[in-house]
This record gives sequence, structure tokens and C-alpha cells, in this order.
Amino acid sequence: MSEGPEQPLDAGELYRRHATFVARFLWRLGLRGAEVDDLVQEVFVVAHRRGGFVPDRAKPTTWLAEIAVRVASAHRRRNRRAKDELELGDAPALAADEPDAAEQADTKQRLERVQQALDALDEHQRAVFVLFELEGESCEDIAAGLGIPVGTVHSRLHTARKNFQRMHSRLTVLADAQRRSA
Amino acid sequence: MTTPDLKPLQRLLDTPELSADLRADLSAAQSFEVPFDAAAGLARFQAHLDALPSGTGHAPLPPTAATGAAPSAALQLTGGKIVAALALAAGLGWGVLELTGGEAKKPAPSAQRADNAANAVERSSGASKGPAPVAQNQPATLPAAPLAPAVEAVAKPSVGASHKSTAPHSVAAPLAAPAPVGAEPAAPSVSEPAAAPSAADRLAKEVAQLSEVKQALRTDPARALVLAEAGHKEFADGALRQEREALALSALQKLGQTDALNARGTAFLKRYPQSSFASQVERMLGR
Repeated sequence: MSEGPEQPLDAGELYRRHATFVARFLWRLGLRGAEVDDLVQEVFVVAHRRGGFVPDRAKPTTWLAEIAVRVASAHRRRNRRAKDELELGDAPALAADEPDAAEQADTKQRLERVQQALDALDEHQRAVFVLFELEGESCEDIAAGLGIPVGTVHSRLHTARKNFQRMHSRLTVLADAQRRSA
Repeated sequence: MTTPDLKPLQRLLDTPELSADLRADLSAAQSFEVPFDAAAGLARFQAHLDALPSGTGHAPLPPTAATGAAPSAALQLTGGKIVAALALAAGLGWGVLELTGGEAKKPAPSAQRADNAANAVERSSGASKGPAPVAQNQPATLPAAPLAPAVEAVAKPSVGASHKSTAPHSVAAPLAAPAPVGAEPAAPSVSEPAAAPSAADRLAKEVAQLSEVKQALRTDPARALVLAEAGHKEFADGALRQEREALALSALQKLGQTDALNARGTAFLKRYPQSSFASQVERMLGR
């Protein structure tokens, strides 16, 4: 995602630029459907109440991610639900070029595997892993955004990677076995 | 901190010695576009900002200042009159570039729930160590926002009066957010300004028209293109021009009109470099 030089962003501009990032981040934290819509709104309401984004402290993305982690966590406490309700079945095709059915099924499987492996992480590990591995944020930016030392980011990332890889490998073996027996 | 088995600052995606499956899965996850309707979300958020008592919070929206776009109708709305338009948007459940219909069945989001929740999050945030110094300047415990009366007063009128909607409370109910520093938790001013109805109606019409474009895109991209152009004309200073143009670009792509797609896509990126759709448009252009 391209970012220009950071300037003070008013609430609406912050939303315009980063709502999609927040929605994606919440999705990767395991939220779906209308929950995502509601929680994106919550994140930006909280951001606004905190005085809005002030440049020079952190990037807006990682700053919003910190709020999103809190919002998602509070949401889960309010609304405990089995994570296995995830409906990846309605995952949309990528916008323009509709892949053929086989390709779409393959992508869906990949997304499901990643989500299941992400679900194996605790929320702190998951946030760091998603920001670093999928959003391409640097450890320094993650540390500034989440308000934790860089060393903590490294250690969470390290643990998250181990757990993610372990779970992913298990899921891959399982998928292979199923494919062979099919 | 050292990570003996992995280079600490290299992403798994970029680590060739890892399994191809793992990297392919991460790559799929990275490029996945989540179904999220940024336009409806923005309108809803704007309704929240507009409902804030004047003089609190931050000046809402000099519209798209960074992109130089025309002033947005949504940004000029105040109070509850945006309700009908938002209810319509939520009920329609469209996602602008999300062309598969998986979201259509989703329940309309409850803004009241979201705003209540935001209060709770903020309170819990205040109780813990706030990572961002700016948070320290805010009241740690927020004054209780006078939610219910305002919500009722504003959410009820005319939702679905002119548009069928299945979401009577689906909209951004105004909420008196506390002022950042030292302001009283003033009651929200939810009285309807005289000029608001026409602006709200226009936004509702624009939302409905955009939905038509999106629907057409599924089955008849040529018609979608015509509708998008008509929308640009009818809502020349509308709030959803970016979204309409993004759909027009999708239509051009489906129609194989590469030259037009390239020209308009490039113009789109120039005009809206920070748009939520920028990455999708770049992909359309093969960048």
C-alpha cells in the first residue's frame, strides 16, 4: 500500500485511506461479515476519540491496528462464539478476473489453511504475524503502533511463526492425505 | 532477540527455503481482498461525525483534500437525515468491487451496537497502558454518551419511507462523543437542518444508483458502463464517484476495452492515489 509523506489526517480522510486495511486486518483476526463492518466503524470511532491520528509517532496502519486488536478482543469477550463458524464459503472472488472453478477452489483452500493456522495463535501473536507477514510492516513500525518494545515484537513474531508453521504443516499433510484418498 | 531458524526480518513469503505450499498460501492470503463496502462504511462513519456536537472532536472531513476530488454530498449531511440513505446502503449490502454476492445476506450492521462497543473499548483502553501518547491526553473514562434518546429520535424517522429497507436500526445513529479535552458531554444536536433532506435524498438516490451499476456488472457490463456514466452525470458532485468509476473500470475490463481501461484507470490512480480501490485498479492495469 503506498503511503505519501505523513501529514495530519482528519477523521474522514483517515477512514478513506485506511478503512480497507482495517477491514482486512479484522478479517484476518477471524471476524466475518457484518461484524467486520461494525468493528471497522468502532475502530474509527475510537481513533477519533483518541484525538485522531497524529503523525510522527507511528504509521496510521499500525496505530489503527492497535485499536483494532482491542476492539476485536472486546468484541470476542462480548460475543463468545465458536471460531469454527467461520464462513469462508462466501469468500468472494477477486474483483475483476474471475478465476475458473478449480483455481477458485484452490484459493479458497489456501485461505482456509492460513486462517486456521492464524486461529492457532493467540491474539497478540496473530496481530504481529499478520502485520509483519501479510501486511509487510516492519518490526519497528509494529512496535511503534502497538506501543510495545521492538524486542517484544520479535519474540512474538518468532513464537507466532513457529506456531503458524506447525499448524500449517499439519493442515497441509491432512489436505494431502485427503486428496490421495479422494 | 534472535530467531535461530529464521532470519528475523525476512518475511516467510520471501524465504525460499521454506515450503512452496506455505509461501503460496501466504501469498494467496496476502492478495485476498476482503468483502468490505468502504463507501457504505464511510457514509456511516460520516453520519457519526456529523452527529457530534459542534466544537467537539475534530473538524469532520474537508472532503478528500489530499486527492482534490469534488466536495462530497455525504460530507455535507448532518444529523439523522442521512439515515434513509444509510439504511438503504446497509440493506442492499453491496460491496463495490466485490462481485460475488456472498454479502447480500448479511444482517445490516448496527451502528448503535458499534458505538456502544466503542465506548467500552475506549474505557478499557483508558484502564490499561495506552500505547499512544495521544491517548493520555484524553479523558481516561469517557463521559457516558446520551445514547438511547438520541438514537431513538433520529433512527426512527423515515427509514424505509421512501426506500424499502429491512434494516430499521441499521444505520449510524448519532452519538454524542465526548470532546477530546475537557468538554462537557453535551447532548447531541439532532434537530434536522432545513437543507438536509434534499442532500440525504440525493445520497440515497446515489447509493441506489450505484447498486444498480453493481448489479448490472454481474450480467451485463455494457449496461453497467452506461449506468456508471449516467451516474457520473446525475451526481456530478456526488459522494460515490470513486466507487462508480471503479465499477466502470471493472466493466471496461470485462468488455475487453483495454485502451479505455488503461486511460481511465491511469486517470483514476492519478486523481485518487490513496483510494481504497487503488490496489485493485493497479491490478486491473497489470501493474
